[in-house]
Amino acid sequence: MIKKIRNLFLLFLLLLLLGFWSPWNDWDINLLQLIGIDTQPKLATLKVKSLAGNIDIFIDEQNMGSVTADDEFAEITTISKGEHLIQLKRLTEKEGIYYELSRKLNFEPGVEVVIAYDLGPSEEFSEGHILYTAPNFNKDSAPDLNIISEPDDVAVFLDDSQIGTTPLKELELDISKQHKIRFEKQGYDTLEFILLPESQEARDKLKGLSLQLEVNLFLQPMKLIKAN
Amino acid sequence: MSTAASLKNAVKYPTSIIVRGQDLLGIELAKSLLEQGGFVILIDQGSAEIEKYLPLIDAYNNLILMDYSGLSVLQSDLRRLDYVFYLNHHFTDQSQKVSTQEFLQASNYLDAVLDLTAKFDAKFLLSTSIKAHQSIVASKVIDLNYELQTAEKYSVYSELEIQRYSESLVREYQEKVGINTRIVRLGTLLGRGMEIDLDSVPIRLIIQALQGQRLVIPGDGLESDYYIHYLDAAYGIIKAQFAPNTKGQIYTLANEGEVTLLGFAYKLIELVSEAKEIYFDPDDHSLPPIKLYKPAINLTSIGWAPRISFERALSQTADFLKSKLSEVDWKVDQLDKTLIPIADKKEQPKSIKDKVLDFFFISNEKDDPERKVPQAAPVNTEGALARLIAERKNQEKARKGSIILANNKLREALQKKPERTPLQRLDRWLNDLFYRLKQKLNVLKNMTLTDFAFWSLGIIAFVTIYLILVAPILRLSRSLYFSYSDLNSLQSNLEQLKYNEANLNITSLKVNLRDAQDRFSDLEYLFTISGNDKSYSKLQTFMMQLQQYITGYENITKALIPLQELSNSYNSGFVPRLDGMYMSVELNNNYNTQLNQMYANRSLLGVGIAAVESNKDQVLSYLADLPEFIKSLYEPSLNKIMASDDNLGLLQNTFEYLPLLSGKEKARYYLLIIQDEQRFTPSGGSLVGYYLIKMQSGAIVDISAKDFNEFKNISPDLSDIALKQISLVNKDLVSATSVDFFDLDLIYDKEIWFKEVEEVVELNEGVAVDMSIALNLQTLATLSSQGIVYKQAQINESNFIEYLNDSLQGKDSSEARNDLILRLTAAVLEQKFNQPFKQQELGDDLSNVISDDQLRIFSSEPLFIKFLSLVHPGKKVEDTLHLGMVSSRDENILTRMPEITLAGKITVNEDGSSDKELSLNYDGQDIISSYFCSATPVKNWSVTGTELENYSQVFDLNDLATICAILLPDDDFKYGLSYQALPFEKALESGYNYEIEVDPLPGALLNYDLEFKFASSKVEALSEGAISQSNGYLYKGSSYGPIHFSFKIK
Repeated sequence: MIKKIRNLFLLFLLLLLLGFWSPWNDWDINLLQLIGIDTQPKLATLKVKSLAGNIDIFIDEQNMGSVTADDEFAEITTISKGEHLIQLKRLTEKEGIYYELSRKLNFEPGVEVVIAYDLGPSEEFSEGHILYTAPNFNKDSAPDLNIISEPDDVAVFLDDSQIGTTPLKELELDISKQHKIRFEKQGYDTLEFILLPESQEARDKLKGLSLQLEVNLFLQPMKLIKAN
Repeated sequence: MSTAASLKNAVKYPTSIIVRGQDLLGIELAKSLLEQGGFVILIDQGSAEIEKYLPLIDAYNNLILMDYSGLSVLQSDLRRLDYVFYLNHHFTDQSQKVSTQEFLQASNYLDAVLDLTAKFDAKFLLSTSIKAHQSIVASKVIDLNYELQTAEKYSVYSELEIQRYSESLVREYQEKVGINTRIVRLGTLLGRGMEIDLDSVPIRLIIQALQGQRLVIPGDGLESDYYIHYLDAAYGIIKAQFAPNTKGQIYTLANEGEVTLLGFAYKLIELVSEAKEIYFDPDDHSLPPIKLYKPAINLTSIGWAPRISFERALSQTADFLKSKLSEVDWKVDQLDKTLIPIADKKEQPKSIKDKVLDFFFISNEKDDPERKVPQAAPVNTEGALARLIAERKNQEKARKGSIILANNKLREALQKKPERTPLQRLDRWLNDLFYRLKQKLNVLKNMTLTDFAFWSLGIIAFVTIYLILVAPILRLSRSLYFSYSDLNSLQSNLEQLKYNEANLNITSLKVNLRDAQDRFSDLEYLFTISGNDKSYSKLQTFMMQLQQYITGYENITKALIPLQELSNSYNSGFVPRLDGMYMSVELNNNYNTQLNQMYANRSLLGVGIAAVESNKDQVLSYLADLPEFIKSLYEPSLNKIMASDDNLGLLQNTFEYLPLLSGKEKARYYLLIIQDEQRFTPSGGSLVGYYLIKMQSGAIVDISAKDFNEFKNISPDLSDIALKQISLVNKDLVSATSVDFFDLDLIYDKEIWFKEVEEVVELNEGVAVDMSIALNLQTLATLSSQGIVYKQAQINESNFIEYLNDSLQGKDSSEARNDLILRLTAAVLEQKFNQPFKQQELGDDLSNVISDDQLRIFSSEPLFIKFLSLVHPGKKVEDTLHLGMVSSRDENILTRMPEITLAGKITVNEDGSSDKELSLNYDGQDIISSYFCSATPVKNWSVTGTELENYSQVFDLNDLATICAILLPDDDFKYGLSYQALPFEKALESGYNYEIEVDPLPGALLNYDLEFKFASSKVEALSEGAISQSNGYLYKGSSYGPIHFSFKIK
């Protein structure tokens, strides 16, 4: 009897520890996918556009290729789910001349993270945007959009209507179409680009996600007027 | 219940098969097993023989009676088998012949039983007869083939050989197949109710004894035998089967000690009163010759012991026979047939046909499949004895026939593959699969397929519940706890400015928060079932917002890691000197790497701060709606972290400029101006000396120091505005030609004073100063709060000034005092900055001295001006009162701090003007004058409390807004002052702020007791410490620096 109680207790303890550990949560196994029922992609994509010069793309400190200003987006489609360190370095003969973009970004399976940047000599003299996603666990809900900018207090125009100044939180985004988004601030170059993927299928994948948009504006150099 | 169903049900119980168990021993054995909760299958011929024993075992449910043919049923339907008892000890007549076919059938049957045993990995026990073995060992040739009267000359088998073969087969199965077997050789069974062989010599002797006849002993009567009571035999058989370590052993199961026929006869004479004398029959040679026989090891070796003695067993047998004989009036030939043994030892000679058939192992019965039950051979039925003999023989034939039939069935089972439906085939396949599984898994051996299916379903259900409910909850609790722990560690590390560790905490925290989100997602159905979809949504949104907020801190801490590295490795290299240089720098450090990293991380810091600021409110908002237990996990640490969020702006500004200020691009010069506020002056104290520090690449590369006494003879080229400042507070007239260096002490305007001092130093050092910092004694004392050592004296904040004054006893010259102050400053700098400093500690000290205005900073460089405006924004207040005193410049060095008391009433009118009725009390010892200045236009200016000759009124001709009253010492140093400050522009149309600043000379203690009255009734005091009164507020307190009073008038 005591042996039985001991064994039961040990089993209970084992199940308890196993539950706390739950190693299967870390296993990347999808039975439905294995038998071909679930065709959801397991990998995410990084799209990088250079607005000036040639840019080397590093993911987790591994060089994944480069993109020139003449190219369309460079696409890296083999990125696993989770956070990865993304670095963009502009190619020059001498290191350190250009600003180096370094961000830890979250990747969701089947969803694109978009970076379009003009890397200048410093952060102030660079411009671009980073669009990435994070799950909001509210399935089938339209994605919400969060915008932060450097500098802040930047006026944001969505489809030519001003929606506020940065930072902006939890904007409801209609994914039935693409949007034109514009950022304006005195003393900085205006930045404008198209938000959301072109195809409706790709836009539908954004449901249940939260879009994070980081924008960096180009500081206009001071005009020096020669004194008479 | 059908036999098949009963057999399937048998898996719940230890199952035993007893083959040839339909005698009293077999029944007793079955009874014992049934009483112990077992399931027993009794196999024998299945005739009516069993009926007389049924009352003994009829009450037991777990019993199946089968004839020999039932073995094929067992092979297909049995689910469990633990023990097999093969009772093959029946031995009556050693000379009895058995046909080759009978022999083969018997051996085949044993072979099939052993197969079944092997299939279930059961324990097997074979019982044989000691008597038979004794005969074999004695090499008694039962050569029926060569008897004189035997016509046929071919070999035939006997019971002896069946037993010998049985033992051999069992041993072979054990060796080749690995069955757990044991063999027990039984002695002759005695006891009440046992079958009796009337032809056996002992029974014959008992009957002779009971009938009062002489006891006829064949030969010399020295032939011996072993005996055992049948109950002891049953107990021994069970013991042999169940005892450990009996595998492969052969035991003798009999009372220890053999008994000769003569001894048997003597025992009868003792026990049976009717017994007569013993007679030896010298002509009877039917018994085998006497040979030495060594029996196998007795079962007593494993703990069995006979409980019924030989005498008692013999007595029981004799009594039993006596009672039976008396029933038939002592006519032996009329004994109850059930007690009559097989007496016919002479079998009819076989015909040639039979022998041929035997040779080809073909039984007569086999020819006709319908004849399943062997028919009794025709016997002579004349006479009762003959009838009984025939009956017994028929039974024996039936037994053998049953075995033949069983073997036939087995053979058919092996050869024929009956047509089965797909369902039956599936059932068969599943059963076979399960058996194979059982062989491998011990736990399944006691389980039916149905039970297995139910268990499987139960386990699947349990696993499903465990995986979708229990495990996610456990893992969620783990993730919540870890995230709570990570958040605590993060808060602690942020507080201690350990950014690297904080960054690691954040990485772990994000993983755990994300995991908690995933687990909440796994458990979403619980929220849905309970109708708490909104709670789920809020919970997930909070988790997401918290992650984004924390991501902001991740970027912040990552950006600040180079600053932490710089702090940890920083060494200023200061070396205090004993000569007039006071201090030098001995190290050649370079922190460009860290500075470059810091500079590169500015945007990361900005992004991080933006993320923190943009998510902070949402985190707080969703946190408030969370269930209490989750809220209590995160709220304390989050509140502490968020409390420091307000400083992030300052941090960002400092961080952005720090590399530039540290000489990243070019060398920077910092001027530390040391003042002695105990020798109080409007500028904050007499100028003591300076340290000029050169910073390049983050490191201090040079330092020079000087006592300002060296400048006492120079005439500084003061600006007009500086001269005006001096005139405003100086009782004597000053001009550009008459001023000396120490007249700079009379400039109360901070910016003008810094500029003039910087200019003098720049001229002297030949460098452009980027930033100047004024330190006074109290500042140095504060910076030494952690303790410094100077000339083996322990100095700290509380005794710094005391040490200074005590050390100067007897040599209170300005030079000596300045020298000591400069050396103490060197000690403070060396001990504060040479070790990798603690940012938090230094930050706290600097924050204290800056907020108390003990440490004043000035720069005329645009970069530094911008930096200072960001980190320490000054605010110009229109209505400012400057209060101060000028101490004597003679050789009597003061050893106390100046003190001013200001009291009175300030009435703020609706038009924004204010009427002030003030009283001033200066600590007048050793002062040569005191002053009061208003920086705003005034009217009705009036000074009371002193004679007119002690008071003069001075205007700044360039700035008509400023008016000063210079007060000469009188007997009580108390003065009254009243004036009306003219209105100034209102800040806002809908309401404006009224602000007034009281600015005492730096280093002086200002005691204030001011009552503010307002014409408007809707006034809110913005400054801390206000005591509300009717139509106004009261402020009382002390301050070492300027003090602001702000009010919002609605």
